[in-house]
This record gives sequence, C-alpha cells and structure tokens, in this order.
Amino acid sequence: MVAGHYAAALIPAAHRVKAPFWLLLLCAQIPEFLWLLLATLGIEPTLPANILDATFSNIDVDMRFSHNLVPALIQAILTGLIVFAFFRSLSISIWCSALVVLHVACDYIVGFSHQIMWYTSPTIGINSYKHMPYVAILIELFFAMACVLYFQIKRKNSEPLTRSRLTLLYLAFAIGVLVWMPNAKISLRTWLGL
Amino acid sequence: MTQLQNEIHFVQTGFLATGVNMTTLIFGLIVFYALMFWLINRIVVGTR
Repeated sequence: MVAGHYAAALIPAAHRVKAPFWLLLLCAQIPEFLWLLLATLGIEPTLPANILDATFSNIDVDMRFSHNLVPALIQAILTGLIVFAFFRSLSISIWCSALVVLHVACDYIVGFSHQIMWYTSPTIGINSYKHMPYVAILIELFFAMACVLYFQIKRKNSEPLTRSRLTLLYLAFAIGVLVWMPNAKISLRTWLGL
Repeated sequence: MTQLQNEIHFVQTGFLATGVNMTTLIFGLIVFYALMFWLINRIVVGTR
C-alpha cells in the first residue's frame, strides 16, 4: 500500500484516542518511512531508481529491515515504548504499536513479497504488486474507503466531520490511491513518450 | 529532444544544483507521502 496506510490512522481517531492526529498518521507509516530512509542510504536498495521507469510490477525492492515480520514487530515494540515515554499513556502506545503491525499486515496483502525474517526464511505476503497490481490498488482503495466510513460511523454522534470535510477526505484517499493506477504496469516514461 | 524533454531537463538541472535528484523514485515517494500527510492531517484536524 502507499497512501492507503494513512487511512488506518482514522481507526484509533474514531475511538477518540487522546493522541494528536499527526502521531497516528506517523505511526501508520513508520515501516514505510524507515524503508525510504534505508533506501536512501542504500541499505534497502530499490530498482529501478528512476521514477520515470518504475511500475508496481517491475520494482525490485529490498525491505528486509522495514517490512519483514520480525523486524516489524520489533519496530512496533520500540514505537510503543517511545510513544509511552513521551505521552505516558498505555492506550496511546498500544494503538501506535498496533498501527505499525497493521501497516505490514496490509502490505502482506497489497504489496511486494516479504519474509518472516531474512530472504531465506519463509515468504509472507501474496506479492500482489507483481501478480495483480490493478486488483491490489483496488483493494487499497476499498481499505481506505472502509476506514473513512468507519470513522464517519463511530464519530457520528460526537464531533463528526462536516459533510464538506468528509467529502474531501474520501476524495483525498480516492485520488491518493488511484493516482498510482496508471503506473501499475506502464511506466511514466512510456506514458509521456520519453 | 522534444519540448517536454527540454523542460524536464531544465527542472531536473535546477534540482541537481541543490543536490537533489528529482527523478529518483525515492525522492518522488518522499514528496508524495509528505503531501498526503499534510493533506489528511489538514482535513481531519481542521474540525477539532
């Protein structure tokens, strides 16, 4: 998943967790941000390096530290501990840890192939970006819409979003997820005729 | 080069001068994630 992960932050927000929303958004993307950092440092190399050549089905990613199961669980525990140190709330820290676990769980359905620990360990995840990138993006869209709907229903009687903001939220996720659809199998270079 | 290629090259050269390669996949994703973070936070928090 790409932008769809942000929608997961709406689940604890729907339950009125006393945490700043930016923190929930951040925790929902911790494995992704770690991957971007490690990819930049060359520790988790990602090819093709050029955005013009990349498609969901041709990207070759190495996410052994950021998205494999055991490292992700370690991230979740560390996230919980750090959040607890700052906010002194068990509830907030558990929700933040859960968001990290939910992130990788979603990526095992909508994403690349991952392993339990290293490349030699059993594979986890259905590698949907390689085999069915269009369906994968549609599943991501469904997940994001379901999270917004859940938020809308749970907050119906207590500080609900205005109709216009709710529409904007649906639109933001729809555009944020579907914007990648043209790149599922066809590169930007091909689309632009470069 | 086509006009589009010229313009992409022009923008890319400008970014390269700052030390950032704008055509890098990772750079593009960082910009995308940052924009989405700002947008979703702005929409949700704006009502509180």
